Amino acid sequence: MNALYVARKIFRQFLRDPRTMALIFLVPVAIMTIYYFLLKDDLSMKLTLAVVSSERDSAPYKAFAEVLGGQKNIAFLEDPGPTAAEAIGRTGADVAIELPDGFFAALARNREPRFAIRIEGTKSGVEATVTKIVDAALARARLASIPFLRNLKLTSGAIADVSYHYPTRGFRLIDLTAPAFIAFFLYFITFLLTCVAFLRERSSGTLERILVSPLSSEALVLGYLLAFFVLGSVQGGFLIVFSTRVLDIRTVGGLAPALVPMLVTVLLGVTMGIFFSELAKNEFQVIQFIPIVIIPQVLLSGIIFDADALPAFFRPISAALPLTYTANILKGMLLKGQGYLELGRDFLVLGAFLVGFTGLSFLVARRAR
Amino acid sequence: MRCTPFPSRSGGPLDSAPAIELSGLTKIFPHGVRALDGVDLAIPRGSLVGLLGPNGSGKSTTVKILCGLIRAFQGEARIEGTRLPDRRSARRIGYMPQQTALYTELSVSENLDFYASINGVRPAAERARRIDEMLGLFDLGERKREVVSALSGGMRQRVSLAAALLHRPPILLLDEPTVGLDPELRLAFWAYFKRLAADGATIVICTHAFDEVKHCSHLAFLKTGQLAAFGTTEELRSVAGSDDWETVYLAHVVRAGTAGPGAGTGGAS
Repeated sequence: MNALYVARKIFRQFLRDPRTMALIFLVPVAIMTIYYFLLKDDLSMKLTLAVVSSERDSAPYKAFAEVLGGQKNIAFLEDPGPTAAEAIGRTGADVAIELPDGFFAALARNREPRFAIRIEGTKSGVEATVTKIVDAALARARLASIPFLRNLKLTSGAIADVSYHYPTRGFRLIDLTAPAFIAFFLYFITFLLTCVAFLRERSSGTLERILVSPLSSEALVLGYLLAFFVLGSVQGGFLIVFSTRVLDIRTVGGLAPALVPMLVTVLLGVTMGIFFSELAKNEFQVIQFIPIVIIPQVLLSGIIFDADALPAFFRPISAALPLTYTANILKGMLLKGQGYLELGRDFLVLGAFLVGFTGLSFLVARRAR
Repeated sequence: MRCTPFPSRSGGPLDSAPAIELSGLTKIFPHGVRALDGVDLAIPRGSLVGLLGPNGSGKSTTVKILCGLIRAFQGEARIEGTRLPDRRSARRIGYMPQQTALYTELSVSENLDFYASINGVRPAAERARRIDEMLGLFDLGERKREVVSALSGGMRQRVSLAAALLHRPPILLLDEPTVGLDPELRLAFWAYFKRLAADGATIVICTHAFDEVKHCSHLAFLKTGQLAAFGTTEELRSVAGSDDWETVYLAHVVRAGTAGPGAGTGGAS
């Protein structure tokens, strides 16, 4: 009987706190929906496939294209450029296939013709998926070119020369995702630490004391930024060394350049932590930010999951999440070997987030209201 | 607790102005609560003022406006002639909040060092000297390396007061500094406050402990955001004709209440 009183009290507390109610009912639904769209396709990835061929009017090509176009996880691009390499450079396709002139004729005569599969290389598992589907499509093309001969062989006999657009051949899923995961982790920890630290400054009265002193709110925020910059440098440096030396994570040109975008992300975590501390009344409410602020970024920013797999209506949400740009930068630097100039747009957006949230945290820490 | 003389305070160019001046001070919070309603008050330099009133009478709101933590809705508050909020007056103020407001995971001396440094006490050697002086004064020398979470409530209160004094501010705003202290320590605190006031500091202390008001040189009685009376302790006591401070308070509140709202200027300063 007494347990009932306790339970009744807990329900009353829940009902008084709309945020907890939302956390219990709405947030899991939203997160499950995103998770569903990320993983609902069996192959768990959506590929953009470009085909370079001069024989697009021939019957075998049409049969080939029909098979590829019928794959629900493949977006099919035709006439993307003169070569497979240029096709990827121009369209950003995940895979480009280049069929040489006379390819279908050779295929029909069982001459085992060669063709090129070029893989962009920043997604894992593409090679296995693509070689299988393309060969099945070519087998169909061969049947279409020799209608009287019902050869029931399921393979085409064509030989694929597989190459990688970025030098990531042999990279594992861990190599492709580890750098972004480190950045995410530093961001997550920093966000939680500053959010709780600033909340405590407010609830313990120390913030009042600071605000009464000549110290400006800007100096207060900058002090937090400085401390976490040092902490993040040490933490990030250590994780980079650990990942490369102990875990043997491979990247193009080493992990060290990743420290710069990681630290920008850490500083963003500081300012977001300070800003969100304003919205929390206690430590429990800080924990509530994890499903609201953190998990959507895990799912939608391309840190771990491939955000391209999501339906178009998720795009604007992804674009509004700061970690999307961190993930882009790290992918560009460590998998594609791109420099600051090529990643300028992403750095600019990430920097704008940092400036914006720094401004907001100045407001949160300001003196007289 | 030993009481050593507080170092002399510079008066500044506005020596003749009241240390603290409130005129028509009104605060209405966003949710519509009228915390202060047209308070006029001029506190002379070197006075030890008790701000007395029940919970919700506007004591803390007054102190927070004086600290520059919140803005007045109407009217104005001045410290040494400077209209608030103004960053320039920050250096002149020592504030002790109702909560001890210390970093519980840091040691006593680390806490004091932080507050001294953000209040502009430089260089480090000078900070160390003043911290040692304060620790000696408040009998905390033995505990300086201990973390605050290991201290008793009374010790924390002493550290908290020390934190407000390190930069030797001429204006002290103390929000219930003696709550939860044992009688002995309470007396020591009041003796120290009197000493500081004698040295020229202007001290405003929020309290609802009637037995403590006898220590003050001046008293301001607040009731639901209005000033019921202000004057020297002796004046207020003799006007009410009682030695019991609860009776004195009630007499003044009733007098002000019959005069209608907004009539909040009692005796002279």
